Amino acid sequence: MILSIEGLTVALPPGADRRHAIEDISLTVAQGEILCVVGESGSGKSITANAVMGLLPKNLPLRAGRMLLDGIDLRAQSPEAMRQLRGRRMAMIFQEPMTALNPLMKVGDQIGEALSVHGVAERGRVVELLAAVNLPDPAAIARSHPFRLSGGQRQRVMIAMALALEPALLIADEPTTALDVTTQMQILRLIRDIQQRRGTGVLFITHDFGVVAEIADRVAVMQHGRIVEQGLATDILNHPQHPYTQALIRAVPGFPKGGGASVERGPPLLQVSGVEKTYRRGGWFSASTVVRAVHDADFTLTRGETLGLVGESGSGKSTLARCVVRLVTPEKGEILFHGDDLRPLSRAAMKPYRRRVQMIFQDPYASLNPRKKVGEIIAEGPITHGTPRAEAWARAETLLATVRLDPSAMDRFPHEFSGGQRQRIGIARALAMQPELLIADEPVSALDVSVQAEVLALLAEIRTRENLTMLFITHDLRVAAQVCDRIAVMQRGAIVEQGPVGQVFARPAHPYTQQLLDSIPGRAWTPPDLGEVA
Amino acid sequence: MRDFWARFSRNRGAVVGLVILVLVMLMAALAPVIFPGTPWDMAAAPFLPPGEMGMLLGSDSLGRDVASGIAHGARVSLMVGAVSTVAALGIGVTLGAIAGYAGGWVDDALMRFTEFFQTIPSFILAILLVAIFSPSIASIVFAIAIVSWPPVARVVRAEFLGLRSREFVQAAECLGKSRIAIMVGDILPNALSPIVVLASLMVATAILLESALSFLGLGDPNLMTWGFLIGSGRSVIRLAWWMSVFPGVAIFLTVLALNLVGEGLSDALNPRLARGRA
Repeated sequence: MILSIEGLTVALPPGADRRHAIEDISLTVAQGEILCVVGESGSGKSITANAVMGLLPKNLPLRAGRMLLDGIDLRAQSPEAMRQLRGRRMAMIFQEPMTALNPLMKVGDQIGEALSVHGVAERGRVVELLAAVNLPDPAAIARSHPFRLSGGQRQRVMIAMALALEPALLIADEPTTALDVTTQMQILRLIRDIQQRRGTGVLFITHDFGVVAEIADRVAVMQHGRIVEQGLATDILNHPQHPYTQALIRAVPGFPKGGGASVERGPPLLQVSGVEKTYRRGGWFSASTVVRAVHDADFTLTRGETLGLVGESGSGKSTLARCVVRLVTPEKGEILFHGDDLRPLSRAAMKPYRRRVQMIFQDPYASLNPRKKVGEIIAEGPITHGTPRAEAWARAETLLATVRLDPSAMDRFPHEFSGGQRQRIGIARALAMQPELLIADEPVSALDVSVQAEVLALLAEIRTRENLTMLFITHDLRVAAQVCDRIAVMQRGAIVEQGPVGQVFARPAHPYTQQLLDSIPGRAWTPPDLGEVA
Repeated sequence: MRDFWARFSRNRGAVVGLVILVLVMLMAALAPVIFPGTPWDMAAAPFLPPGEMGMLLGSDSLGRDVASGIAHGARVSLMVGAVSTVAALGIGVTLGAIAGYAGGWVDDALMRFTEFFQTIPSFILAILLVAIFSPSIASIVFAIAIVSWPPVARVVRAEFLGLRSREFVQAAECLGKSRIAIMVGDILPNALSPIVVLASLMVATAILLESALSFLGLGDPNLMTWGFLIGSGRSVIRLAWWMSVFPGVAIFLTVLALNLVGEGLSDALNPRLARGRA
């Protein structure tokens, strides 16, 4: 055993919603094994990792338990001895590669520093390490500053740094959450590869069951600071025992089974053709850089259908969606809504169409005005369009019921609600306008899996009841497969492939689509059919 | 609200400042009761030191009561501070909001206009304006407002620039709200904290500016102000120190109080930026 934890308990400061951040945690990591700790936000999985590293903040005192790293009792170590152990015997990779590196220091120097604080000569080692994490031209990378590297490259640098002293235990705290799917796959393969080559034990923290299916040997599921289920990955993924694990796995969207039954196509509701949006940056005297955010992205939406716009960050999918609601004005092209071109309309001329095209935003914490009460947030749209105040308020109350929130929510402020509840408020705000076309920009990507499943179910229900047409933007192909009738794949501002979901998934025509599909973590794993909630 | 008060009162200096400020306001409000009649009347022999013949803070070269002058002067000083700050906020918030929300060439034009005002030394400009429009309470307030709005415009613009790309503002755009409704209803309430803090400090600056103008003899000749009291006492400062010192102390305490309150407001409104205070 490289790491064994017994009965670990960490207290929360008084006044928190529960007494212990983590309670009675026992787990082990063997040599050459990947243990995935899965749980939703607030389940205490990161606290567990930080406790092992000895990085707990002062207001979270360790109350009980034993932690053995290779037989060394970690709780008995002095801070100086812990510092020696960190890096030498155990190392950590963090979620956010953008902030974990010092922006003013060259990458090579940062890795060199990690070596020299532990008294190891660095010459040659740095480049060797960068090569080991499959970075192209490691010598050049070593001389670069972090801002020159992409997110995936930075995460590789972090891994190289963590591996510098060949630790026996690697702790990875959501290392791929901030990355695009294709990059995520490369990093996951890299971690798996290194762990097999060197026999490192890995404690891998994640919220994503796809990632678990991809790399885990064993799994520990955490809820409210406790481990509710622990076992071999194949057992837990295919035969979960604990109701919470079952609920989590039930919430993972599956893949479409059908071969591509195309939806019957009526008259088009929205036709987007020849739209181009280019961003120019640069001052009066410097050469401007040009970014073609959207080009060659024609698509048509038929009444009642849902089109999924998928792609990685920077592919232009959000810009395209914002062109349709005119938050961004494209330079060229036509956006025909029921045959009327929205692109050249002035602010005033656009107003009647605002009612009919509504948008749901990505970040439930940023999309609601923190100074307004929920009732006002929902009712103000219709009031702007001339609905009498009393009627708009009455309707807002009905809508709260539709999105399954208590009517008392009307008089409360957004910060009193959880992420999922806020996203429902955002949905209610869009529905208050009784739109024909709903644009959903990554509406569930900021939410936990189980909350995500609830919001998706709500959207699906509303969509069928109101016969809404929907443009659904997402980077998550599993979600797209569950929600959409048709899918359009975007890459570098252009739609490279579109077609019915089943067809795109079964027979991707474009190499990029193929690459995206191969990058879905845990592709080989089909969530077991657990039936409905008993 | 109770939260806000708890955070405000954690800063002890701010509470002291608030107490001083309330006392000064009380003094201003009760001036006609404590010292009936105008402060311009001769009440005793000239050059009486403090405490003699019922003159609490002494009398001036014409036998006027200095204490009465300070109490009545408080009304004018506070009024000038408040009114000119409101006027400056009006100009600064409007221009800053438009610049920050509209962006592009509108922003460029408005900011160059603001910089034009910022490049002129504010006190010189204030003297010039008062001299041109002849000294009166209205021209003084106008001059102070004209020289103190540019910082407001810059702060408000920066806030608006940051807030307008937030999703809740985009959501308001999607609802089809008008530009003014979005600026006033959605963005401004979220930009209020720095404006409130700035305003409390501007009142202090305005009081100082008004005193400086009165000291130079550019005050409203019909109104008793603190600056006028110091100005009239300056030539006899070796003979009658109390004529300049007590109004000076009044200005000092009021400005200090406003600054302390401003700092407390800043801590209470931006708890995360509050410096570590026991």
